[in-house]
Amino acid sequence: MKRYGMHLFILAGLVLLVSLPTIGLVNYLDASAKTSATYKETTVAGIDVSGMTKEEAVVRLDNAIKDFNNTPFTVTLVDGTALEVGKDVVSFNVDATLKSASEPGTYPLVTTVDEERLTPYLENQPVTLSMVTPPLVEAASNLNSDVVLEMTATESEVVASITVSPTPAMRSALERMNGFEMEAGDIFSLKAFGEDFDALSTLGSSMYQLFAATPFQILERVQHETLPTGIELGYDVKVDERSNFAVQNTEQTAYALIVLEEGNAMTVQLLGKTFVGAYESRVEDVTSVPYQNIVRFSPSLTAGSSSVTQSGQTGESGKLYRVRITDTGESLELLGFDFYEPIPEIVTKSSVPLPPPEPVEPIIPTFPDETLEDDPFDDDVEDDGLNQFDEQPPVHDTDPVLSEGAVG
Amino acid sequence: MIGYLILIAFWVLATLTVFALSIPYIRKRETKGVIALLVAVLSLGVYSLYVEGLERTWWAWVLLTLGLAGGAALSAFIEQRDVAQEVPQRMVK
Repeated sequence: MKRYGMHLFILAGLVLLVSLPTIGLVNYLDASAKTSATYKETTVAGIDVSGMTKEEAVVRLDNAIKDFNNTPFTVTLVDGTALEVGKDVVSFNVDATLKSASEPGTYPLVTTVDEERLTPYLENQPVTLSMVTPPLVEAASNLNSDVVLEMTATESEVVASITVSPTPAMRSALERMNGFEMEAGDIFSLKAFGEDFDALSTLGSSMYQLFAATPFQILERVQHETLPTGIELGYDVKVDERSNFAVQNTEQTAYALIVLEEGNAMTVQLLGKTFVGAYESRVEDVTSVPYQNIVRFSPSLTAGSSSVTQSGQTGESGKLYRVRITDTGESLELLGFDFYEPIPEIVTKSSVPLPPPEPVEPIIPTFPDETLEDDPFDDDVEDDGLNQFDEQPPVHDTDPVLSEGAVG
Repeated sequence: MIGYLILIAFWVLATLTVFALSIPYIRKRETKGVIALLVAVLSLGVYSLYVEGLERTWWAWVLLTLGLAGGAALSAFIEQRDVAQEVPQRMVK
């Protein structure tokens, strides 16, 4: 046993004697290689660090970052307005940048954006965090203070706009919609921006109005059975579990939806390249369909009474056209034909016949110059001063007949 | 790569030292050779464990421990083997 212990001790000692100095020496060589290495043909954020060791490069980049932080960012929005954003929203990781710069080349600074600090700068601006953050990071990583929010489209004109008075649910959907970019061929799906179908239906009507005045293709639009109050005929949109409102960008360039808040109202703008020709939407062939009157009889009602069981509503129909106006003239495209059935008015009347009228004693007027001798029948026994020839009750030959026709 | 070369260098030094010194319990050249080979294998294991970052891997340590214990047992066995044949021979007049 003692022999085994000695062999174990000697073997373990020899293993440590060989491996530990090796590990130590390798560590030392690595560390010295890193500190003495210099960058070759390397540029970081536009600053040439060739021939510098890591320590020298860190000092050089730190100084460059200090200079960069002296002036704020100038963010040019898609509508051309310039917005100043403080440099405190970005932070740089110089060590990680230099660590990644192991090969000769051009490297950007590793940059992170503090979204909590950036958010206040973007309040009431027609931009979202997702629109600003990537170009801001790109500009900052190259120590560039000018940020231009570019779209794929070369021109950024307001090609269509609508103003809505949103409910809180609509406002939420519009805020999510803000900054939505539609590349060529992309589809706008209204359901993607909210879950409240009532709010989306109301909003969908406005969005339909917006897109009807563009060459975009309306992929899906469903109308209600009855025209909701406050919705203009022709622009009715119903969004629920089964139906949606979807539009496809059929143009060759990208377009973006920008939502601007103006007090209680919100304006939705479609930005992008100006369309070839002017587009507008028009509702034509508006017709009104009168409702039918239906009379029903019920024995439960008291004799002679009636009540309106269902009030009538006039039906209507209209065609929505997309009008394209060019130098050569107008061209119409039928987008939708909405028809709402009229609702008949139902009146319930009592089927109980009226009781026969009770006999009424007629009143015969008297005249001052009439005397008792003028009574030709001499039957006024009590001499009440009245002619008595009408004292018999009237006799009806026929029963009263209802004049209305019965339907239903 | 340089690490493995350094490892070989240190192993050569250790092996030469083992063969050169007279170590109690390791008298046979055969035992010394086995120990030298075991040191090479186990040192390579320890260095690989460091290079590959397996310091927190339990099975790597278990493997090393088993190798060490098995190697010690093997060298002890080889050292003890054929000892009976080395009984002092009869004195020759």
